[in-house]
Amino acid sequence: MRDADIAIVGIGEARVGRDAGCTSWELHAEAVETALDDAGLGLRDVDGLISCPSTIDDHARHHVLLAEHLGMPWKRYTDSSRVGGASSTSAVRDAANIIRSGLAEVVLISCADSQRSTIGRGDTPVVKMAHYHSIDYEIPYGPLIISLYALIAQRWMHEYGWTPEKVAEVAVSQRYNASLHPGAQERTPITIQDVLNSKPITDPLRMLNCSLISDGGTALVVTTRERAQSLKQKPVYVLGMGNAYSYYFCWNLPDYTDYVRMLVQTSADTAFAQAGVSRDDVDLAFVGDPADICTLVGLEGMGFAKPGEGVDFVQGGRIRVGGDLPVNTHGGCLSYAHPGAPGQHLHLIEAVRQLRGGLGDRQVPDAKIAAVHGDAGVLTSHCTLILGNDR
Amino acid sequence: MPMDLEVVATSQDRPLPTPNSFSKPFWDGTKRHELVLQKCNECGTFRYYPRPRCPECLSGNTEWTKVSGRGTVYSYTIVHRPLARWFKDKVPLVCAVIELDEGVRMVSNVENVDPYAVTIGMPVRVIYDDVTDEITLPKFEPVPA
Repeated sequence: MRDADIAIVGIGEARVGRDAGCTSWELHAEAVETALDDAGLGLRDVDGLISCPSTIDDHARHHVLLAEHLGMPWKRYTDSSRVGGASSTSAVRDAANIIRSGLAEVVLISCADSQRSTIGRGDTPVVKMAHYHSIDYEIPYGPLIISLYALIAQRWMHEYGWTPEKVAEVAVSQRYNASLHPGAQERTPITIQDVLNSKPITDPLRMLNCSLISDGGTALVVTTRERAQSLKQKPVYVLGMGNAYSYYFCWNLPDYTDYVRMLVQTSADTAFAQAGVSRDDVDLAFVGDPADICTLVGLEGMGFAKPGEGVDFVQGGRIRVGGDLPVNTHGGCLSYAHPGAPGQHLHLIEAVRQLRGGLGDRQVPDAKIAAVHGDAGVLTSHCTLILGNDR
Repeated sequence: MPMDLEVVATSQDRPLPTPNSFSKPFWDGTKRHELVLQKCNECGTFRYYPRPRCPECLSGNTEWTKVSGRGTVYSYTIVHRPLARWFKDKVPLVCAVIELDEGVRMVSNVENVDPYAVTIGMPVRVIYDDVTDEITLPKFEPVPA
């Protein structure tokens, strides 16, 4: 295993779930305060800031404005991570590189959004959608954001003969995991039949195949291994990082199965090689999951399931807490929460919690290594991190 | 349960494209009821949506070329929730990725068919929806047997 030089030392969440009742700026501030308290640091210890812009309250220099809101107009480094859902793992990657290059020592990553309550600037929904998708070549035809994931799901189900019944196990497993987390937005256990009977949204995706819509804020504090030793929490080390970037619009992908799997694999292989650990060393995994199909694609691409067999891999409770490879132990975007930009930051926060230990029923026993895969832009942008509690 | 998506579906106006200096030949083509795409003069690869360089050979030497308007459904989804208020009485609608015979893909709607009868691989042909004096949207329908 590689000798890790970067650690995550603080985590914080703010009002994650239903209607937070405030702007993203307040959520940022609350999450940051929690994360710094968790680390045993104060705002004056922070010399770098990475914001992940809110979809509702975005600004040209969001990171500078955020610093102003947080009361830290002095800082050595600020920037925004703009990789959609993968801004989570990408921001940690950027923090690691900033720290390694000597531009900052303590980097705060802050992310907040109010997609559920839409409290904020109040752009029209089409303008917000156009921020991500093509107002010329997609939106006139009426796809929801989640419809673009449905196009990928349809193709995987077609090529591999996956049935809705088998795919539904992802949602059922994620809800089981969420039932163990007191902070999850949806905790009531569901059955395969519940998934199949839920409201159609964008075939083949029904309501329970899709992520939730939430409000909430998240923050993480990243610093050097040396600095981490004197802080409050057991450090969680960044052992390896990898990326793969591809087209912006998913319909430009040469194909929706092999090519997409290859992107995840490229990102994961790089991270595993850098970490010097193998798939067998991984105790638990996290996959960005705007829709259940992403979890299945992720498990194949990360090398845990064979090509075309992702759906078989998840059967029998294998990705539940207590299973062979617990995945998204907080319930993921499907059941924990999906506040928009912070959706996959919650995966990172849960990974850190698991590697610190002491989570009771939800704890993966003796968890040492977590693989965290961030994906964005309908499986076109990827960033994987390997985290461990031992350097 | 998750929130009602009506909250985000508040725009009354029909979302339409805005042709620019770069995409004008495409939208001028649809207005004439012709599907005109960029074809690379170096390697012959078609591309959509309009952009400066060929994704295969990186050449910027391009010619706008009329295509057949025939293709197949590569993937599709039946959208049940309106993206914006304008779509309220249009759902369920079929949003599909069409693979044209020339090898290039487009997002569009498949119309004039029961949404549940659409399948992957279904042969389709272009139709034109004249929305305004300026904008004609290319859409698709099944090729009659």
